[in-house]
Amino acid sequence: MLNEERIKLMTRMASYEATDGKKNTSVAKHFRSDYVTLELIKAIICATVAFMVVFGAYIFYDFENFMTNIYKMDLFAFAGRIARAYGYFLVTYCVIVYVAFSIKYSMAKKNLRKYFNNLKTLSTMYDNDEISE
Amino acid sequence: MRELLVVKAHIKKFVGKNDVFIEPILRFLLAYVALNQISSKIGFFTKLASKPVVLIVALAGSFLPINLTIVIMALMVLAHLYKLSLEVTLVVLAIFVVLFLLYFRFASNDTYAAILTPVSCFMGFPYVLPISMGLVGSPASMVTVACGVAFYNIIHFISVNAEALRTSSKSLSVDVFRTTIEGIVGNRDMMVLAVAFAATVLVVYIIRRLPVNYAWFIAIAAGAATLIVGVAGANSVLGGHVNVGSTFIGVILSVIINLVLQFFCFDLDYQRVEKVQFEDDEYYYYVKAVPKNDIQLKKKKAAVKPVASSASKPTAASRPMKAVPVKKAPSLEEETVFIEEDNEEIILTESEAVELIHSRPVTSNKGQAPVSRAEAVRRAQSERLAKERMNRNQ
Repeated sequence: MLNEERIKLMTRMASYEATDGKKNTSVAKHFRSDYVTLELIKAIICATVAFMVVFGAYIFYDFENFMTNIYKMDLFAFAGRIARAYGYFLVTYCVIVYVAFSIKYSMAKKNLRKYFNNLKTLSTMYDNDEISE
Repeated sequence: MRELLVVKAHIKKFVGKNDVFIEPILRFLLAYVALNQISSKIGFFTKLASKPVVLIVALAGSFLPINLTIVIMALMVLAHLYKLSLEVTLVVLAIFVVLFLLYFRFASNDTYAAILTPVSCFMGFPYVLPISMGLVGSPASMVTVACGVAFYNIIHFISVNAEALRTSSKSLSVDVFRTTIEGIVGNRDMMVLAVAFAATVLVVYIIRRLPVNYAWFIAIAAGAATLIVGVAGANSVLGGHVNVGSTFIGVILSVIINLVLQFFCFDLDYQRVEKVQFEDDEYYYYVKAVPKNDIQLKKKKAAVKPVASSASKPTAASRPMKAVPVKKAPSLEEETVFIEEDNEEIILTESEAVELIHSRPVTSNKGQAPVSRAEAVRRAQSERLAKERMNRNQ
């Protein structure tokens, strides 16, 4: 005999498994600190590459001036300015990434908790069916 | 109003039934329109801008993941720009790399907004998306909408100044490089729109999530006001020249379109709000329930046709009979609309049909008052199913 409630529950769970379930499972299989640290490392690499691209564009924008003045300018002060700009940019971006992925981890855990509760409910429904038979 | 709700229910039912076909068609249309606009503005690579190629890429986009489609579109833009000038290609490539590395890496859910924003700007109604993304998106949509506006302005700048930026020599020209960067980074109108759009998305998002009545209506109105004030304010602060009059007309159109979006996505009946309180072992609950303005579509029962067994002869009693549809008066809690569907046959055994036609009470009734025809059919069917189950278990 078809149990409508059970079918509805199973359909919802199957839909979750096919869409967000896969992403949330891959997120939640790590510890929170591990997941956020991994994302921070990726963020540092991406931010460094992006900064190098922007810095290259900045140098090429004023290339003639730069080549003319390179022997006159204080290279250490110039490098210090670039390093400070890189530091501010990196810290700001890492803070944004930390907050974003912490929220993403919390949401993934919450959705998985709901999914596991539904699994328990489904198991109880099957147990009740066996008892009634 | 009731007719609109019926139309909405029909549309939702049609889309729900045919979602497998509708989604690829919509993705094809989006990719086709976007590629068409790109080809018309910066179609310097004539073979790539031709209709068959655009059609093939758009067809591919209807089946591929949307993130891959946007990468293909970016590559097509770079291919067109390469025909114009290597310096422009490098500048735009640098912008794409920075955007992909810093943003789309962890905000890939907003890819549709990233394509729709420049498409809506190309088509002349740029003010729709900020309010729409505030209603259906997240705060991260601020950056997506701003990036979309920036992309539109970059393409517009390149298409307007194509002759000045064209280079034929193989070596890099610093002047063209500098002109391109100054034209993109120094575009005040782009900054005005990006700031105003981002502020609008944030304001609409915050207000529509408030637990107040008519939150979405208030959010749309606030979004419209933020757009107009934002454009005017950013014009004065950043020195842009965006026309506030055309902004006002565009915002009015955007409000109308977003009211339609609200009707389909979040239509609640605030006249029938219910407030309840209850408790369990852990918490005390204060619950405000707002019913949705929805209409349930139900099938009209069609002809009832008995299944004749091999041993029986057809009799007058076994002739098929037309069921009389019963209309239920709509109540406050539930409104039903009966619609004509394809004829659905209710298959009965001969004895069930005979009982139904002569309106005799079913045998399981055991001397109680006669029941309605529908109830009689249901009881007969459930009895038969129970007997079949018993026979199977034995």
